[in-house]
Amino acid sequence: MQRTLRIFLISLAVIAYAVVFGELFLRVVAPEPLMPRYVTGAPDGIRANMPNVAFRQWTPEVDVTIRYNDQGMRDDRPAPPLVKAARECRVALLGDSYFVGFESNYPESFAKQLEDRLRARGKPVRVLDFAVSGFGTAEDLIALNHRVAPYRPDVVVTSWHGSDPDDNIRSNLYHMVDGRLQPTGRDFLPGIAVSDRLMQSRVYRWLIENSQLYSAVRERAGVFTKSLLANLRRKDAQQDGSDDTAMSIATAAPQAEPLSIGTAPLDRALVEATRDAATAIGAHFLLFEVPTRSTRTYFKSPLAKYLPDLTGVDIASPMAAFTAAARPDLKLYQEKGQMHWTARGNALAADVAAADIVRRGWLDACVGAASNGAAGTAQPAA
Amino acid sequence: MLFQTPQFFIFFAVVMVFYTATMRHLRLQNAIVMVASYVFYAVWDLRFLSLIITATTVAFIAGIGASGARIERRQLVAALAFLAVGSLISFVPGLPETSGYLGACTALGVAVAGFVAWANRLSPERRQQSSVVVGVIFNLVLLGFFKYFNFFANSLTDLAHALGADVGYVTLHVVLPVGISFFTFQKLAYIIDIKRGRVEASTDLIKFGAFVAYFPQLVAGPIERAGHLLRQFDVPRRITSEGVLSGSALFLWGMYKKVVIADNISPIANRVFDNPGAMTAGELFVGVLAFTFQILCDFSGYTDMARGLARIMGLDLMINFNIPYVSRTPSEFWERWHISLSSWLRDYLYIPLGGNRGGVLLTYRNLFLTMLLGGLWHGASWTFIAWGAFHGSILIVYRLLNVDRWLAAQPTKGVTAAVRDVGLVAIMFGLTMFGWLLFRAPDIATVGVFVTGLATAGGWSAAPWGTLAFFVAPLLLVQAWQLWHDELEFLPRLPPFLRLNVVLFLVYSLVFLAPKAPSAFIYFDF
Repeated sequence: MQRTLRIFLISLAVIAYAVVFGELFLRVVAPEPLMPRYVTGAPDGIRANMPNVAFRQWTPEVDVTIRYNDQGMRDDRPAPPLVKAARECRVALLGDSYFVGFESNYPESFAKQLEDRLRARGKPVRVLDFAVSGFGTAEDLIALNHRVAPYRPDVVVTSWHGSDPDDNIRSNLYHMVDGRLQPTGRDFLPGIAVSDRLMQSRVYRWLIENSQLYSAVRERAGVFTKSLLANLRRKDAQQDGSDDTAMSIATAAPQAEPLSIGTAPLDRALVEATRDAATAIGAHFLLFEVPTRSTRTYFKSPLAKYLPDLTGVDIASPMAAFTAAARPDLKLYQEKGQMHWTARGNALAADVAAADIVRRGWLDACVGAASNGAAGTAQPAA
Repeated sequence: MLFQTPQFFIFFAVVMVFYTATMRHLRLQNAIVMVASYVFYAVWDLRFLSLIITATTVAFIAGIGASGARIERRQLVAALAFLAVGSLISFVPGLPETSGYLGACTALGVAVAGFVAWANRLSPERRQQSSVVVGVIFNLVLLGFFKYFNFFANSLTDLAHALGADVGYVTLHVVLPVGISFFTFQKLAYIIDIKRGRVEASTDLIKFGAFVAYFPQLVAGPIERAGHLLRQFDVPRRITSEGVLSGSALFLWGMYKKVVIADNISPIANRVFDNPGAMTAGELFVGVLAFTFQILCDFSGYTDMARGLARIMGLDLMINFNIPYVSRTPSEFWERWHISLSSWLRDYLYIPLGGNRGGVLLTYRNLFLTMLLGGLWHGASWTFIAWGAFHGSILIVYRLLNVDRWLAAQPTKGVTAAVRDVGLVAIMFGLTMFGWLLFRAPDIATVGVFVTGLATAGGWSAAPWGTLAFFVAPLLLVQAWQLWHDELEFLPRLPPFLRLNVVLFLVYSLVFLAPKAPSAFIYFDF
């Protein structure tokens, strides 16, 4: 009995030591980014940023603070009232962590830099950042209908990122039936129940913001789960015979060139539905490409890869600006964290987006002072 | 199915379940080893499973004949049945190239039966001789066809073009079966050793099949001798906690060398070798240095993993590397680097050529020819031939200068000896690096680009020294420990607390420093 207890205690001590060793190993030998997300479930059946939180993201390159306002928007200011002032304009952003501005402080984020540039061009707009880390187009569409619409934006900018095709398959929120986009009626809240419970613990919150070992394990588990979910969903889709399986062919081997370029019915339909939903609330719609970084000076176009013959949708892309600005000694993407845009990358992307929006004259009606966001915090309908 | 992948871990776990369940049934356990090895090989390329089965059958029959004994009817029937099953397994309906196997295996079966009928009528001496000749020629023809046909056909075509003649396009685009150089040499050694009376011919086809195809060492060695490995299939294996722990430690260290060191420094070498003309002298030097450590960690890592797996199974594979980069002379280097090949070349090529028995000039000729063929063994390319010729040349130069003999007469301890040894090791390391430049370069012209660049281009500080040092430093520390304690297996010898820390370091490195995609071992191409 005593021997068993001794073995048990020694095993416990070894495990505890292994954990401490792992933490030290990562800090000294292979620093791991600390990238907490602070997402929770929302009544519309998808994830949302937790309102009124501020947290730290750390990588060997950056140490930044992310703040979500009372409506879960990435913004250091409170959300504006639902009702716009006369001649006030709003630009809503939908997308993933690139549009949230991960690995950037707010003044350097894409959203803030876009707002600054539009204001500098005489357009007193407020940019409302509805992006949530991990979102694909399917979630963007739901967020547009439930979260963005009440704010009556003038322009909706949705990101198109290389991870979107997989995200759209994985989330299983929409599928194609007889060539038409149909909601599946399901929610997509991966791991949210557990995460919500854990987030109530102060120790856990400390852990996610400070433990590199925990962060490393969570990231790897996340990547594994994501790929597992996508594969399962592909198999389901193939068994159901849904039309979106063509997409699965295109994304089954992300390293390889897609086999069926231009046959991505689910992605195309989702983009078109998001455009239609934006138009339905009186907003202009812009699909904004997030180039995929290969090296510091070479980028790939996820639009060319997955939606090369997309028509009827206004598109802007910073590909040309990135390529023109690229230098071996200039980082447009972070390299030791999770490859989000640097301040310079955000600035270049914001330049392109602002120039495109202004050129199209979508904000010509905006005259006078922009909403400063201080007045009113009315809640949108969920 | 690479050793460092989850698929292999699952495969090995399943094999071990059956393996341990049959501990008391030696023949059944050998059969499990053989079948597992064939499954392992079939995952690489099902098409070539019949090749290894065919070669095993021929070597089995030739081995019995080489002992001078008559080949019994039951042995012939077993061999033919084995051949038939092998060809049927490799036949894939709908895969056109496999349909030819059935015909080829049938023809071979007829040839084997014919040979046995003929050989059994000969005297024991004649049977012995003819069996060795048939066994050796068959293996060499297989190796020659699969490994060298394209090279010689292309070289012939190029030569004809250079002379203004057009001989047409003769290349068949023959695909190289993985591990063919290793298992062919293993079988050749088996047949020759029987002839020399060093081992007895195996009359158990299953045991012999397990020996030829034993999966931990099937695709990249060590090239085992029947006297060492085949005998171990004769006796029941014991799986002990000591064997499992030390085998796991060896596997872990091998995997660290391959996945963390070799795979992380290979991009440095690849970048430089892909475009040497655009590199500074520092980058060129670091590129060659990176490859020098990459190939050591890649190959010795594989060997350690193979030896670790075998030890877990209660089997012993020979040591293949013994800290080769501390060699003071070329002959020392070849006693430490790829020992199973260098000793094979010594026993089955250098000594039969006459070794050092025919005078100075003949010794040099034999040394040079042995190393030249050793280079060619690595692959059909002029760079490998140049690498072999280079090593043959430095062996001759060191022998001319009597360095080994002079060293043997010198004191081995003291400051003077240490300084002398450091100097000699540095010179030999430089020569080894040049050898690896020849080995890794895609062609001889690229070697010229390197040499010119190293002599003329500046920019030594711009090279990625830090990355290389970061990954190689743990290896150097371990090798310093190994040298100091004169013991290759360092983990079991460490004090418990230090061992725990080293194991944790290796495991965390494998988890967090491994490149995302696993890469194949360099020697799989040979």
